[in-house]
Amino acid sequence: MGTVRRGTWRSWLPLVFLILSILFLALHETRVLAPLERGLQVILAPLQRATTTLIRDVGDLSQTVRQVRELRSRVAELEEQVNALTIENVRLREYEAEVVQLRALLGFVEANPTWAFLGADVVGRSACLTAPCADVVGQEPNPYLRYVIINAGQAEGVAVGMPVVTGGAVLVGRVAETGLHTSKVQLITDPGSSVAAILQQSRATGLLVGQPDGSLRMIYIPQEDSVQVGDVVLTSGLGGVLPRGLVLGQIVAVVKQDFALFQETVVNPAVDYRRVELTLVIKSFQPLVQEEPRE
Amino acid sequence: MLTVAALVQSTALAGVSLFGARPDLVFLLVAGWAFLRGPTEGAVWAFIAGLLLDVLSGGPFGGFALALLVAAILVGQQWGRELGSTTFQLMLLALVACFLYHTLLLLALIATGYAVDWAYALSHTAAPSALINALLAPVMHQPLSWLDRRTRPEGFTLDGY
Repeated sequence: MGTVRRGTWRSWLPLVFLILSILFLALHETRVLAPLERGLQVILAPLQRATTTLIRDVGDLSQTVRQVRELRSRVAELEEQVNALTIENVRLREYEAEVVQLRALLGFVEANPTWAFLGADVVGRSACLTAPCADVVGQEPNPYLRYVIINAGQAEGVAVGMPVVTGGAVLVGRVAETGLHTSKVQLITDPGSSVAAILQQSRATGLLVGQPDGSLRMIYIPQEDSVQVGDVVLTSGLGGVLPRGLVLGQIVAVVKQDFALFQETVVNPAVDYRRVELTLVIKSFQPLVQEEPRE
Repeated sequence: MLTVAALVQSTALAGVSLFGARPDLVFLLVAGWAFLRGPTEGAVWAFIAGLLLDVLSGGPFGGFALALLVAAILVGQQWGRELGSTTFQLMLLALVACFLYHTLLLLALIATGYAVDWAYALSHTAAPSALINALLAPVMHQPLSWLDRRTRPEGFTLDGY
């Protein structure tokens, strides 16, 4: 009798789980389950970090020849230097472009001495960077999404929407969800990500969106703008949700059709997001609020 | 075991992809267990493993649980058990279940407001992943069969397998 009764209620288990799963999905948007998710994250985060560390250590152990290890570290060191110099170069080019723009503005002022001018940025650039350092402890298990988990959360002052950078000034993504000591970061390569972007040389603006294959596309670039392969893509700061001038990638192809309103470009990401380990969360910066026009 | 599999899936295996095909350790464990022990035990494993993956994912909570659950119920059924060898049956069921699992993951994303490129996702990720996981299913079957023999209480299972 006991066996029959146990068998009867257990036969309902798949249906119960099915209903629970659908219920979780339905409740996900209402954030009712957020405390449960955070609680589970608190338990899993240290395990995930330990797994990441273990996997990295095992990978290191497999390199038995010391020379190979030394060479690898030397290559990594040099790559780091190259990255730092590349970023420095990008920054200097940005300053150069700014100087050219300011000179043009100055020339315009000098050419019109009777006019009154007020200098202003489109959106503020001055950034107060108070940045906690965070390791990437996990990658996205869902093949259709691109997120990483970092080991800094609400307790460290991280909030949803904060930009996350690596390697100095390369934008990794934005914080999408926060736990107590962990946060999920939506990478700029995620298909749901879009970032207001500007090209360093041509100053053309557009929207950088993630693609299902993990690549990037810059869309909504006006047809009349001259776009060159190799031009560096930066955040434009428009909208005020991101600082201006963060590196996003480099143009590798231009897609221009005569009948289209806009042109598009294929963008090579500035870093390999699968290999990002250390990140910085930009906790605060000061974007200029665009004033409403007076009536 | 499921926790370790979920952690490995979200760390070491997350970046592994061969022409879009992604080996899915958690799916292989759940599907393999459902094949050996039937839909009810498969559903228990699927629900627990699915929730673990949901916690580690940036996607909607419940998406993995639902997708794995349906896959486990499918693999645990008796349909097609008279077709060919055990290996063939397992590969066939894993192929269909994995494709369904990916389709449900995509549906969960759509249901929560994500834009999904169906043609690309199915052809470049779901189909190759179903293929590679179907090929890997017999490999996972060996250790799971051993575990099944060690843990089966005198031939009794929830589904009478």
